[in-house]
Amino acid sequence: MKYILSMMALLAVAAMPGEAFAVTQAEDIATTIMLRGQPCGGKTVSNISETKDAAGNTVIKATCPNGQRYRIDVSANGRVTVTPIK
Amino acid sequence: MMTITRWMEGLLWREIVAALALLLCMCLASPAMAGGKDERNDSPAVHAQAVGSVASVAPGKEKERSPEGGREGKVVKAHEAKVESAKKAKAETGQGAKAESVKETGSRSHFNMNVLIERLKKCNAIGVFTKLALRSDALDLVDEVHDWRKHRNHVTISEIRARFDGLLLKVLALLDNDPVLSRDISKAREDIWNSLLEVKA
Repeated sequence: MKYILSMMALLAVAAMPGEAFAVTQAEDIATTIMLRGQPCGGKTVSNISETKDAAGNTVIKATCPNGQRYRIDVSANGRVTVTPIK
Repeated sequence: MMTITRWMEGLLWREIVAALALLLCMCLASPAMAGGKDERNDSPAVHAQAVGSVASVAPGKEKERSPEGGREGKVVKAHEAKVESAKKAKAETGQGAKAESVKETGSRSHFNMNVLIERLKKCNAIGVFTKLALRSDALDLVDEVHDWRKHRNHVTISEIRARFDGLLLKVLALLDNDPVLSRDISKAREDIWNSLLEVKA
């Protein structure tokens, strides 16, 4: 009986609609870069560095799988700009 | 020998009957020759299909398919059935469109932009920076609509609509891991567009 109940519970869990899983910061930054129309060459980035100034602006630097390093500026009011670092 | 000649005669007669039936069918199928009312508005495709199907059958094959002379009646009945089914389909599509429009108006009454925005904010399928990037795009679009309303830019409404569609496409592509929210946003496309036009920036 216990076996049947446990199997039913397992089936119920398996039949539940797929819950959206959280993305990692590397994936998030890579998606942001691509969303801004910049080539990245993959779904994750590496060598992430993040700095925040007193005004609330955030600067992120990350390297894409294609070797290109990008600077992502997030202003205090939430505007995002992506610029490639030469 | 006698039997062969009789058989040949029978074959000839069958060919003649089949050809006559074919001619009669063609006359009945074309409204100009039939002298009846013009059913072009009802179903021209059905007419063309019927005529085509009748014309495409070679007399030799006709003989093989229907040796009896009753083919004429069958074709006419089939044609009438086609016309009737086309009329029914037309009526049904009309009813379906009405039902859809009613359903749409019903769904519009349930539309809430703020709820959708909150769901997007809480969604785990999109990262924080991606959400901020999308928000920037949305704010740019709102500014553009505002400028268009004030005649400050030379952008047409169709161009703004194209940008809106592009932005929505981005959001839907990013919501690949949250199909429920993706479906709801996709359903509310026109409502979101209308609310965007109503925004007073």
